[in-house]
Amino acid sequence: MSNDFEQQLVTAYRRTRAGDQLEDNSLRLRKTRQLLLNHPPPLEPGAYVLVVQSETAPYWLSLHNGTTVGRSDDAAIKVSGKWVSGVHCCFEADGTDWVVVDQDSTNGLQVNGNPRARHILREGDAIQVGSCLLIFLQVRKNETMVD
Amino acid sequence: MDHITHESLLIRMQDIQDGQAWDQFHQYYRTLILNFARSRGCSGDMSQDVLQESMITLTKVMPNFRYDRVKGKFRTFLLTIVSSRIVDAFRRERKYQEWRTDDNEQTPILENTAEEWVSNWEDDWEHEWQQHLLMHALDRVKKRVKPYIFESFRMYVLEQRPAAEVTAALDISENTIYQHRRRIVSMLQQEVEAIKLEIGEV
Repeated sequence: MSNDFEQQLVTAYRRTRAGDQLEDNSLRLRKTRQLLLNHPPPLEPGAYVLVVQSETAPYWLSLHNGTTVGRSDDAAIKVSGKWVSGVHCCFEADGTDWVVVDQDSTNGLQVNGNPRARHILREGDAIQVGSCLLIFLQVRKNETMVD
Repeated sequence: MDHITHESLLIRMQDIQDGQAWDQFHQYYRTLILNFARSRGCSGDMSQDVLQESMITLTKVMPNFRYDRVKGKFRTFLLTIVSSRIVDAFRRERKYQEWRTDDNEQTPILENTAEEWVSNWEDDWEHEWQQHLLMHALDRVKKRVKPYIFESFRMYVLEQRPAAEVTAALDISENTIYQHRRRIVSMLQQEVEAIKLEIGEV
């Protein structure tokens, strides 16, 4: 009988139980992976959102500082629906990060199902604006090169 | 998951259409990545971000990944991805703090020391991996023994409850508890060796 072995086991067990109590996002990640599978991201480095709307086939849009989403004809990503404001949210570059900012929309902005006024984007984040889903992704230089 | 991540699973994952392989991989590595991120000081939310971004990065990288055991272990490659995602998570957290306080309060990491910060993580990652291996072995043993035997082990060894409490709860003798303990520890040690053999570490 190894007491060291048992002690390692107890430590691992406690830490795993703590980890298990975190929310399991695997379902959302699986959906995102499926979308990426069906719509491979562009190869050119940059920040993108995959725009998923019922009216059109999903497409990748390259983000620029100030890219807007909303009902307005001027919005870069035009989304219809009574829950969507004229300019609902916009994307801002902040150093190497990208931030999605609610533009005082009537019905608010949701990222990964949570209400957000201003959110630094992580790859794979799902932004919901009315019926439109936007999946954020960054393509970095040489990222897919594996030695 | 009955099969630990090994060459065949990694090869299957090069085809990102193989959803089952990706689900297996996610299930298998989820706890390892979350625990490692937590051990580096990430909050629960930050750890979830690290997991999410690591998986998305792998989605982009795996189609070009060629598994070559001679060149190095997959988990070393994975550490590179996870480390950079942890650094990203801290950078964002610092930005959030700046938004909240506007006093430029700094989180434990500065961008210009990130490389130095992660340079000695290999040992900790290895330690995390060993713990992960133990939990995987425990899952396997749990499936091999009768539920009450595992339960006595869980209560007495893992939860460290007094023997009297276990005997009362399961209606078994104290001596039986010790027998279960010896038996399961022995099985666990065998399973750890079996897993190492499967992933080519023996």
